[in-house]
Amino acid sequence: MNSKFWEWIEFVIRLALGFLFIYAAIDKIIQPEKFAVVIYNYRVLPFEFVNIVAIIVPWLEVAIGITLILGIWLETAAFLLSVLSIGFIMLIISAIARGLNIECGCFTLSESGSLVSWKRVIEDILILAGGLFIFFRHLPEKQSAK
Amino acid sequence: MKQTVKIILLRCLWIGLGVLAMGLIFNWLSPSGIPLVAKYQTIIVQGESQKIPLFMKRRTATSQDTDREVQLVSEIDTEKARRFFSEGGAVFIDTRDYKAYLDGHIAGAVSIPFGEFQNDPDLIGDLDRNARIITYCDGDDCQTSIDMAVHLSEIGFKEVWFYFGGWKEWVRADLPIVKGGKP
Repeated sequence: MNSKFWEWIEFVIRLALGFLFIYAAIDKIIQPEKFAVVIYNYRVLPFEFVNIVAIIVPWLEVAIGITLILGIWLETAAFLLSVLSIGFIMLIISAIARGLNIECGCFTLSESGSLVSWKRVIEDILILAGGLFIFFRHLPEKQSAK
Repeated sequence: MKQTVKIILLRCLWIGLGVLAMGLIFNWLSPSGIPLVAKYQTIIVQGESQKIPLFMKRRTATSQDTDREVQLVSEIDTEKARRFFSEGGAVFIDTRDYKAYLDGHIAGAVSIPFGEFQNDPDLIGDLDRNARIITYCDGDDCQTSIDMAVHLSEIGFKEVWFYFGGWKEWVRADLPIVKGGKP
């Protein structure tokens, strides 16, 4: 009953985050050159690494999305999701702190794209919370203790 | 616990390898694929050489074979910028946000924020490719004047200078400025 309820909640979070991550990856996969510019504008990575990150990160989002939706390797998917969200949160906060008025590149790369802001940080914190929720429910020890 | 960490790390490795392979293969096959390392121009800024990357699609990049080591754009100091300004004919491009431009800009400068230019290079309009162009931003630690200069030279502008001292030095030298949306 109670655990049924939490299972249901987890299922909804998994689907929501899974589809969100796949949605977020589509624009970046279609327009890698635009995503590379977004990454470069954060002025964190040496430019030599920018393109390779722009090529790989969207597929990491796809992989996380698919595993979350299908419900396989959930602890790993949730772990990667949490690490990625923490990275995004730190990036956005550092951009805000440095006064950079740049496109976030979080979900879409549209021309009117959303700029880095505290709203984006809060969104990512919610995503991180979802990731941690799934992670701690699926630690292998818990599974084997069943 | 140790076992858990091991399982997660191992699965991360598998996902990482899969993702790496997918990314590289898709990028290789896709018409919008990009080079693994961005092309760049080497520019001397304040006596030190800096690599300025050019983010362009692999198949449309102009410098395809080798990275450019040739100096295509040069730095300009306040004295020279003032001279070009009084000679007339030079186009000053303000690469800062439009809000900063409204608050005050070099007299006659046009506003083309670099972020917007990246999204839409057509913003440059029908500006004469042979015109003498001087890009500037805030000064000190701002980079967009250099980025803009390099990208302009890459799309065919013949004479591009970047004024690294920028807005701050121009104001300090008490040179002509304009407030508001008009050049």
